[in-house]
Amino acid sequence: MVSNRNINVALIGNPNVGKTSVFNQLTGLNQQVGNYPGITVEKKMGFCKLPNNVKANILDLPGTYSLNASSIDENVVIELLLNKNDKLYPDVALVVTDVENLKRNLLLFTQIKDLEIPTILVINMADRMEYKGITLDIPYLEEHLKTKIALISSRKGFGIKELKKLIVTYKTISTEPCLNASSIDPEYFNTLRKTFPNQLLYKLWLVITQDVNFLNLDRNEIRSSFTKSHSDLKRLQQKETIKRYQFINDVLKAGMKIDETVAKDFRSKLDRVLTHKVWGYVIFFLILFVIFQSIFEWSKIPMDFIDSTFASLSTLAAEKLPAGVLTNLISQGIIPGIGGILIFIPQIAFLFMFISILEESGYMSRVVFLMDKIMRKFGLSGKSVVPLISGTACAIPAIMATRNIENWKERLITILVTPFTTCSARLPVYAIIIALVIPDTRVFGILNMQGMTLMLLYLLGFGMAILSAYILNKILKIKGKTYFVVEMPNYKLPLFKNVGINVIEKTKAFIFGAGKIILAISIVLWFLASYGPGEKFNNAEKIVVEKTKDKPLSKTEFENAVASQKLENSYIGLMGKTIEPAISPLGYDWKIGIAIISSFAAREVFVGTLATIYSVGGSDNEVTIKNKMAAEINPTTGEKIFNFASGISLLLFYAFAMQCASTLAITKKETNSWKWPAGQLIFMTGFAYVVALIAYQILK
Amino acid sequence: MDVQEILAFIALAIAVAFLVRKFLWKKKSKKNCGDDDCGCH
Amino acid sequence: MRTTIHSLKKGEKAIIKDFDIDTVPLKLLEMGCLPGNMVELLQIAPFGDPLYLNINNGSHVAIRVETAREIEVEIIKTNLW
Repeated sequence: MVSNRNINVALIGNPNVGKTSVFNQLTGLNQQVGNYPGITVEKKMGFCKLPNNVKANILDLPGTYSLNASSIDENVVIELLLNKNDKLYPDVALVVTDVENLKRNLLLFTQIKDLEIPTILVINMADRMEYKGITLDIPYLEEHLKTKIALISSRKGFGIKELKKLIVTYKTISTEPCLNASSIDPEYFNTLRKTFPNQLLYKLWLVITQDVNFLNLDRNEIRSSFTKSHSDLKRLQQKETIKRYQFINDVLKAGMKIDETVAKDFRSKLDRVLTHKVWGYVIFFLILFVIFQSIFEWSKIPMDFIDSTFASLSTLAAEKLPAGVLTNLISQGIIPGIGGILIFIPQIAFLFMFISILEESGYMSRVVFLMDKIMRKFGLSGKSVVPLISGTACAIPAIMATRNIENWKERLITILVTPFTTCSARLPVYAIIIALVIPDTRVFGILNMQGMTLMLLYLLGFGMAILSAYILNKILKIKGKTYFVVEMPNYKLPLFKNVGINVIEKTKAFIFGAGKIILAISIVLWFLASYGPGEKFNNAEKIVVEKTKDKPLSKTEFENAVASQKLENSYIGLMGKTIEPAISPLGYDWKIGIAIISSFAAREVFVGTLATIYSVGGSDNEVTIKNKMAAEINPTTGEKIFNFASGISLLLFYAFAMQCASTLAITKKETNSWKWPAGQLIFMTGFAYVVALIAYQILK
Repeated sequence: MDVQEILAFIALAIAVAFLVRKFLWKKKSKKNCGDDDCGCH
Repeated sequence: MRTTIHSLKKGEKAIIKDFDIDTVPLKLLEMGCLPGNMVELLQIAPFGDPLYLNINNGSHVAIRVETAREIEVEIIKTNLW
């Protein structure tokens, strides 16, 4: 059969075997990441040109230890492999294994073979064979495992060409299972076979034991015909696992030889230090400190660059495009909106670069190991460390990173509390308020007050996250089984390519996930600020002329006055005035009210909104904004609006309030429910209000 | 309303529609992981 | 009191004997934690939990004490000379 379509190649394997590297080697940069419909698992697809003009779609499936799924990720694997009608159903499966863990990796291999798909065994990390004293009898293994073997090193780049040649020959690869797993309960399986003669036996078994959507047969139909209790099924699964391992042990006894005298062990030496009672933590916190320092330092220049570029673009648009509403929308709403999103890329990219390096090297598992017990006291998991740290860049990719937490309660709590950590968007708000109300002096000669305040805010964020986790743990009554089983992989030097591609993926997640929402809200906000009901808005110019007829203004002053009048009476201005009575006990006026409302799109919008409100002419000169804000007086009390009390109140409000529509959106997506993001919004913002209120009343 | 205004309001409409879909749309989902494990023993 | 993985001291090796299938996750079995296989306690986390094990000579995993307590083992006595 001559087929012009691309063949489907599925990459399957345990985590930490270098599957991603193989994927990257085969596809280069011809890859895209999407989502499987309906669930939050990433779908990684790529394209590869094989010899003989064969083109292949390569699908990188989530890493799994067996076809018995214990998470949504792993479910995806089975669902695809059971559904012949899925357009991604593989023509050939590449089971990627690691030569040092062959025994365990082969479990999955034997299961795939039972699905009668042509399967190639890819043995990766072949470069380490000598180091570990391992020798393999490839022909023997090929014969007994009924497959073709490709010995490769994705790290060193050898064996890939041979692998590609092998893939092309997929039609000649045996689809016979390599062992007879049904012998664990011959009676049961024979009955199954007789009742459903057209279905693959192993497929039936998987449908019965898993929660998969099987399109052709009704699962209940199968389940009801064969009454085996839940624990009986579990016992059978256990027997299946034992049988498979027996088979694998026998094959490897003859097919693989390990010379223990040659084997070197770097891992345990490093582990002894990195998981040490004292040194383990010291090293971890040192690493964290270095990471944060670097991120701050390195991000400054790119951020300034992006800032000034977009400011110029905005001015350029206003000048070059024909005057009108759309131009204004573009130069005042859209361009600053996009700039406001892109400016966080440096910080986010750097943080994910560091996290990716730590994960690739294998160190992250040790961190999880060190932190698990402490985290559990607060209802979190050791695996919550990565999301909590990621939250200091942006909560969106952080929340996505909770997907590997098996226990639902621990995962949920992590998702709910991560937004308390001080994300990058809060920094511009903190920066300007601190500059306004905290004296730039040194305490005890070395500690800078402004710097200290910032650090305190960071600690406050973490502290609040942990505290709420503790409370939520006590309040939420959710049952969940604990399966904490974390593999401690070998240490390895992170591959730049893998880290790079990972960073790009995470950054794109932020840009497109948060970006679209922020942009949409920026457009809406611009309209709310540029249009207003009634006389006071529409006749702004006439009103200003009336007001100042005794003291005529210069051209710029006049323009600013009109803009001010318009803003005050625009939709958003009216919204600000409406909430003013509610926020004045916190020390805020309607102008700050406007800024707070707009911040619900994204916190950093606060600064831009203030700039607009304080009617600074063309360029957004931060010094000038600060001066104007510092000079602003409350008409009723005659005092400064931005004083110490209101400043602290504002800082606390921004530290705790849920002001990020994008975070709410991702929480809704990941928890598949309305009530959690709604709860976050109400609780966090309510709490922020109360704390800010108390702070202001005490300090004023 | 001139061309610019029309286009601007179209942009607004798209933005609002997008936000409504993101936040208020009841997505048809097969699994509801509200209070418990997503059935993935 | 039975001897479980939790009873092991650092560096000790043992053979897995039995476990309660309702509390020990299938995933752990698939990692090689099966009756007859060897398990070695490599590291104990500060505070005593979790435990870092070498299962079936090659599978390096960390599990929590509450799971370790459910797996019965027979300690391999090393002959001192």
